[in-house]
Amino acid sequence: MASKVLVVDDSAFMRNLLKQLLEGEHEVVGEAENGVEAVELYRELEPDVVTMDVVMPIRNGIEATSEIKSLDAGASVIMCTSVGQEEKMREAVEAGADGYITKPFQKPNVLQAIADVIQAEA
Amino acid sequence: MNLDVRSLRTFSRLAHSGAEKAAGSLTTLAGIDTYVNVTKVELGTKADVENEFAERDLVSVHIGFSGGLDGHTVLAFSPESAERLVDALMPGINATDAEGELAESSLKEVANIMLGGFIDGWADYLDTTVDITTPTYVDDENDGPLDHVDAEGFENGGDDEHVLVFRNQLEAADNAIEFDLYMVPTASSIGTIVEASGEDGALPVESFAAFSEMINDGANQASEDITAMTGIDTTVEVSRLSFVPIEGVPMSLTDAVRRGVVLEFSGTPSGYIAILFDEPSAENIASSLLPGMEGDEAMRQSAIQEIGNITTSGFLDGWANALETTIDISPPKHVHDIGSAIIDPLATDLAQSQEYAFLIDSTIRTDDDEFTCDIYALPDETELRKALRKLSPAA
Repeated sequence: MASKVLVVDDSAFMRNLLKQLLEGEHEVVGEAENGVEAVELYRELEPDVVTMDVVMPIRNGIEATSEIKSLDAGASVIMCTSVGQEEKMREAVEAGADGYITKPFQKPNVLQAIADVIQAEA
Repeated sequence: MNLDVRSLRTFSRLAHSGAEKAAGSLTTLAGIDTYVNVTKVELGTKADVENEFAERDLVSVHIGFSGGLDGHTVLAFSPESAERLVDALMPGINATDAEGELAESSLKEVANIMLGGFIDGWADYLDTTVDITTPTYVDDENDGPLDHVDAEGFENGGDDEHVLVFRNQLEAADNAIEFDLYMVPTASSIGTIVEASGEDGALPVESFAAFSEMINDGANQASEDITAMTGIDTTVEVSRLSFVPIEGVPMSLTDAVRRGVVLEFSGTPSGYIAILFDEPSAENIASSLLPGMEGDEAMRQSAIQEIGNITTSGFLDGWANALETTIDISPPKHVHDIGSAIIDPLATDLAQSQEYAFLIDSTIRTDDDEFTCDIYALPDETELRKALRKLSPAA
């Protein structure tokens, strides 16, 4: 079943790439380019899943995830990061991330990560 | 054998002083004003050094030395610079002419005088006697550029063996002659030099070699990430750790226009990283990531920023995991300028707290030259020392 996805990344290229990967599978309902916009759009759009970049200006993805989770404990957030360090992943989990995908993205991995968090929520 | 930053500074100053003496010899011999642009102490593998020679199609003259110090020195020119130098020495003689025995002889004599002067400086510092061999001329028709730098000049002689190379870039500006003066001491001779310069806070040389391996692993990961993202097969051509006076860092890049990203990283170590492409490479990368979107310059810039971001992460992740630490990176900043101008502000910032820099450079390229990506990392010297200590076998 198609889910409503909020794509958060400071790179227009990566937002565009994620939209292309999700096309026909899920509905991208909004795009944010920093953590502040992400929280605002989450409130407004109430997506099923958020794909969240980690390193962003203004507010990073870990802080934004923490805030989204404090607004809605049931929010599903997937961290999208090229930072594969274990410590960074632990920070993301502590902030409430439900899963992560590593850049460069592979379509099957992205779809599987979304399926996993939707299934866990159900 | 242990190395410390004080030793590296001494090495660098000695090598620079020796190179200035060599430059002075050429000025006296040929009346050509010659300057030392930058002196680096590089840690790499024999294969890396050979790759650089092969890539630049260098003409070189080798001289061995033995006695109080053992190893090899090499004076290397591009064929064009060799021709210009011979022309300055003996107008009308062609350096690359098959019948140019006189030209070859003149280059050997230049090397003899310059490299002899260079080695004399080291012998004086160590208060010892060093003998030099007769010069050997090597051009691209010979088997390998470092064939004459045999097992004596490298720890075990294998291609993967790490070697400490003293490299000086010299220039005779008015004559557009550029050349490099290399010195490759044996491992035991490095020990002799270290002993003479003191060992305060010294680290085993294995720490530097382990870090060099880490750089190579990082570059390979970055290469894999670029391939995964673009679908273009890439390989790491060279990875190197250099110790260089901070003012010499910008001179390590040419004045060619580069495009890419600069990022700041923080943790242990902290510092700056630049991922740079020449302009055709940047265009090819953007086109491979965004087929059919040639007109959307903003999106193409975003694509280059993102590949810089991913390349940086690939490069630094291995470091963080090997050092059991976290390295945070800033969002990528797009840059488009001549290479030295891109690096200059990064070096200027580090210059507030350090006189010398560890410069890490790696080159990733495709087999068909579709693109070349240069990675330059400038870690904070104090932070890198902490990192190296963690890599010490005793740690």
